Amino acid sequence: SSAAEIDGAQLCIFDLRRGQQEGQELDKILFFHPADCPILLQLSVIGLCEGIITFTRIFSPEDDCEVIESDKHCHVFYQAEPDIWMVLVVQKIKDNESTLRFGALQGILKESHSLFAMFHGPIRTLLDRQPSAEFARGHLHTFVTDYLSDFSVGKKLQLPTYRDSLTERGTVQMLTVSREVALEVQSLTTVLGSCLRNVICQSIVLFEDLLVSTTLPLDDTLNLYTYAILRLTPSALSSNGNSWSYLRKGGYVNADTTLSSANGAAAAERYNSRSRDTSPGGQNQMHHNFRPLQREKLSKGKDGFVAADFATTEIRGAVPLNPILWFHQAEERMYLCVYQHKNLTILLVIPASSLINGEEGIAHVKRHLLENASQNIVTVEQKLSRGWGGENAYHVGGYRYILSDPNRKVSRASPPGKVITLSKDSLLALNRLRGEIDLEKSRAKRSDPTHDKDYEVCIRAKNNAWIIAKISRGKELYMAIEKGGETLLYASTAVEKFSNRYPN
Amino acid sequence: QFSAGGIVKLPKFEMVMSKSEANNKPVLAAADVHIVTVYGRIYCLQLDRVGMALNLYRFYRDAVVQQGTLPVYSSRIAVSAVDNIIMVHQIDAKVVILYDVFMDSYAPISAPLPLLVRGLASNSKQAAQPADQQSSAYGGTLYGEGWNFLIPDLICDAENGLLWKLHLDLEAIAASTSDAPSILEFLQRRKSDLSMVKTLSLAIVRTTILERRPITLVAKAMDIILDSYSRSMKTVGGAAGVRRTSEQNQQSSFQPVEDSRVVSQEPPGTMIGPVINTDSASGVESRQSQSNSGVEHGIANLAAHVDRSSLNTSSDSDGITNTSRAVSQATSSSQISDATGKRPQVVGEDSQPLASGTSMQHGTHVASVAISPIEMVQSVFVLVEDEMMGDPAYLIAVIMEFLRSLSKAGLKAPPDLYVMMTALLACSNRYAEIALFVSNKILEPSRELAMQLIELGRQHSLTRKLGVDMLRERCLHHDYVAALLQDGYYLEALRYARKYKVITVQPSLFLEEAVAKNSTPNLAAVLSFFAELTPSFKTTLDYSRYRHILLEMV
Repeated sequence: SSAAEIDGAQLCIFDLRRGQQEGQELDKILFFHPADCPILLQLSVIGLCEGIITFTRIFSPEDDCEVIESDKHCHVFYQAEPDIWMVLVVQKIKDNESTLRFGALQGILKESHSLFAMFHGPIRTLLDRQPSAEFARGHLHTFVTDYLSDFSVGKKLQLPTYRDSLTERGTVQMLTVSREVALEVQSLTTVLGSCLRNVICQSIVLFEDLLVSTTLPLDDTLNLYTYAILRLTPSALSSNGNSWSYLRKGGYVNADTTLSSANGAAAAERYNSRSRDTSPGGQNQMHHNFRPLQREKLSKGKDGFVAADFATTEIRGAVPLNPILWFHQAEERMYLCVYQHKNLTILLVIPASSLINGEEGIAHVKRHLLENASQNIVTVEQKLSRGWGGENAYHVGGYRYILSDPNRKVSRASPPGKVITLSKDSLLALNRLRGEIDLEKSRAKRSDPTHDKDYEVCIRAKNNAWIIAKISRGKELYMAIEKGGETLLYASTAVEKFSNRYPN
Repeated sequence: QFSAGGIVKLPKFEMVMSKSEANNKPVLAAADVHIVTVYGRIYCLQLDRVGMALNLYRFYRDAVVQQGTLPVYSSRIAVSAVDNIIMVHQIDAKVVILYDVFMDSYAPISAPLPLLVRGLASNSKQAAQPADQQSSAYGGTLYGEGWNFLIPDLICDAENGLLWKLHLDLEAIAASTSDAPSILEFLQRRKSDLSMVKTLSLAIVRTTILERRPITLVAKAMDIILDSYSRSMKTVGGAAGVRRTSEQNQQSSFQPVEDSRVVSQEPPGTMIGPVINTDSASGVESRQSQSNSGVEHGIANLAAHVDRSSLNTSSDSDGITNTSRAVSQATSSSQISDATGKRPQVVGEDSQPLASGTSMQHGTHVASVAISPIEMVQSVFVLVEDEMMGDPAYLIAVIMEFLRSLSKAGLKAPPDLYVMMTALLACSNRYAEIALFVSNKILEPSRELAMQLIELGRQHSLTRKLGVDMLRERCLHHDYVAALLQDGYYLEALRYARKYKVITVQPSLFLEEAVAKNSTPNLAAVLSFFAELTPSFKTTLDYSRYRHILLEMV
């Protein structure tokens, strides 16, 4: 097809309810990456996708088409909202082994959409509000481009490959804390929750890049967590201003130094998000300059809160405002307020309706937080750092693993520094196995959606490593053991040992 | 000074005097020095009339150290000690300021409180007429000229020929201050009227919760209660026993006094001079019944004895400077024996011969001033739960603080509390937090909790899974297999049953599941599995029945 002329990957978002008349096809397109792609080519890619979607519906009206693999390309589909599709087209590297895993690619689409929806609300709502789709396109353009900038190397997109087979997008990584510390954290959450007199504020507490506690439901926790990991935690912040790669790698160290230079006090940021319009109808999306994912604009304040500095070109000038979030379950818009103390990041979520005059209200909440919670925050931070085993805290000698619970959206994996010691063969085999299991899972789900099926697979890779997948009661464990024994018995006892140690 | 080792002369005692003379120009009058014993410590209070302050010195074995200064609002003061509380009577103002110096804090426990004459009214059942007369006669003469304050807690009214005994009205004190943590601290240190302390403390915690006071305040209150509980747990072995025996000694040692010395010029019933109430005028409460006085009597005996001996010690060394004081000490001690000797008599008149018995009983309960976590749950959380249903978030936060206090004090919470908390979380739809709390063990695993999670799992399947997993982790094999079966995982259940030799689950349950799944090979497998596992299975009714079904399916 003609798409072959384009290097690397394409990502498009289109709405099947739009532009259904001949000659208006352009209206379908909501987003296309790369943006400089010729319109005709964009149309042909989207036309092909639409064709595939329609065609596969004949056979499977219930389930959406998920992936189409052709000789040179792989199309990954994701129906983000009814009739709004996101498609990722990836060029295949000429290699015998498949290096991509469709599940991982679809994870990107899901993640970008749910983050977008968190900040701007569902795409459909935007389109309904403004049928010309100007805002929707504008926001999608800035947001998804900012999102993709994480993946871009030069002009190309570096999408997850087999090397990332021990990671799982769309899961939260938890910090394991002792009961005593957990209670201490909980008492902090209580204080945080009472920042507004009449309404309980929700909060998420992170330590380093790990989740410590949350009061939000699963989906919202996941979205906020993802956002925090991408942009807000100390290590993310340190790479915000300067995108030199070596700085990114030493994230932990740098976070410490930058923060201690700011009096060891908390770094503050604030998002400058929307117009001054404080009526409940005022929203992020009415403001073109709201770009929560734009790294460069995130800067540190001094009062302990997170601040961003957008909108310098705007007539209004910089209006420091907090973004409004849309949550799945609460159905209410929320302000986000971020506070940081050393390695502790606190995301405070304040119901927008409870603040009569937005900005002042937020300032009041912040003051309240500083007055009442500071002591707790310092204690919790101390306790957490004392118990923190460092970057390799969850390393298990001899194993390279990922343990994930898709139901609870939680995962834990070997630290990245340890995973890269695996050989290419092991990783490829692992990637392949995960792909197979993904298929098997979706098949089982189709036949009996309520019943979890247990699997256990051990395979011997080319390099004699054991690659193991075990799913039991909905929890998934994938691991690679390179220096293992010869027998299958060895592999299965190794898994047994591991599972006994980590029953979760 | 007496000590365990014998008589010790107070060293540096002169220093106290010189010190006090330094800031006290006129000569120190004997009446300006008061000795009290609280918490087994001897304090000397010296009135500085010029500075209108009361200097507090503590006598150590080898030193005398100034501890602090209490303000004085009256030119005439008197000092008493009841239940380890220092009472400073501001005679001109006719009020008492209470100090609890246990933690070296010299702030008054509550606002100045008036004295309340109450003994007579409360006796009304038996001696109504004279009592009324007496109380009306006494209304005007509170802090009258004829009042002699006798250490530790007696007042001799020379004009009316009555002897008063001071009591603490804990309820009134508790009602007079809104600072819940400090009043709880105060209550938990009291030794008299244990059941009252306990009910009061629980009531205070309950009201703070019901009034939705700030969480930090509630947390502090719980800290105090659990602290005192864990302390009492540590000392429960030794101290309680010692205290009990000493009290027994008291009883016996005072019996002869009662017999030999019957002091009859004081009208019966006067000795109960209880005390303090916020609104002195009303005096409506007649809480102090006869049985109550009997109880107090026993404890008063104990206090009197201790005080007297220690007072004697101090008055001995005091002798040099203060002879008249020594005399008053002597009289006071004799008065005490009079009074205490007389008390049982009164009780006897009121046909309450069990006085000593009740006091004994209370002696054994000394350790239980403290409130155990279970009592907290039963008489605080369970009681407030219904009323708090409108605001479960607050109650959850309170329970969370309670758990934190528990873990700080190294105590365990009863599983019921976790069950309650989970229910509260679930009813506010906070399932994600349930999962979080289970995973970080804030909700400690137990069978009760697991069952609750499974129960809640009807609305939320992930929560059910949490419960089932908890059963497995707790090695509750039977329940786990049953739960798996309920979910239709009969093969997994079978595998698990084989691994852990669970034979208590009915085979028919497994077979029923296999039939329900309409899977012939599985039913056959389950059948043969049981046939092998339990040899007698082949003879059972189940076997033949499911075999029949199997044959029909084929």
